[in-house]
Amino acid sequence: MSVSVKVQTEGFDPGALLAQLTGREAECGAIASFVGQVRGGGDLVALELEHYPGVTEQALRRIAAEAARRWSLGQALIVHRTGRMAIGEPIVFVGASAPHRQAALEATGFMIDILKTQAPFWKREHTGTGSHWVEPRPGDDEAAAAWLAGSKDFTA
Amino acid sequence: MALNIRYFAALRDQMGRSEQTLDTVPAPTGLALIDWLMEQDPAATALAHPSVRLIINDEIAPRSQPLRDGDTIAFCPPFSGG
Repeated sequence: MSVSVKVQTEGFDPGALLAQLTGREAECGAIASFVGQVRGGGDLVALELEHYPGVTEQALRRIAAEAARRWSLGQALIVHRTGRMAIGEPIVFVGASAPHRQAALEATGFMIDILKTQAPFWKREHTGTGSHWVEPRPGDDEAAAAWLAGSKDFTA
Repeated sequence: MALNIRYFAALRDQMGRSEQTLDTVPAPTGLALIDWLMEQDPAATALAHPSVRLIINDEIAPRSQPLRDGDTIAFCPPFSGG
């Protein structure tokens, strides 16, 4: 089992990250991944991601480790960008390999849902008329709470 | 007691600074620190909002946690990554 997390300002190729999960472990028959990218709309020009260096990486490691504790995984991988990004650019990659699909899919869903509420990232939208900080969606808290029901001791 | 304070994202904008060092703060807990900061600067009322999370020495911590000399307290608006 290996856990890998990275926070970086450079862009990344989701295909290359998916390739890192593929074909490595003979006992893994399933790979699942999630890619979040900058959504256009309104008069959005760019998205900016700020984080708390050091604390963010620690939170991501704990989230990936918790996924590996809950499901039988070969690998857990999280890569998150910070800084300024244009519409359509990837923001985050979350992926897992596992012997079976259910573990890979659920672990991937767990990691992205928990990341959204437990890792210190903040989004700022730059539009044609100015910029503003993004408020989390109420559904984000609910998704995380559903995973953590019955295990409130886990905090990233 | 000396404390290092950090403000992130919208709270940094509201406080007009990203960090400050307080040399003599009569604040035994995070809650007391917020009260003290509000007395110094009305903008600090934003820190009292229930959605604001405190990260004390790199760990998310309750406002009631006792503070110690040299602690770093980061005030964080709700996280919005991913």
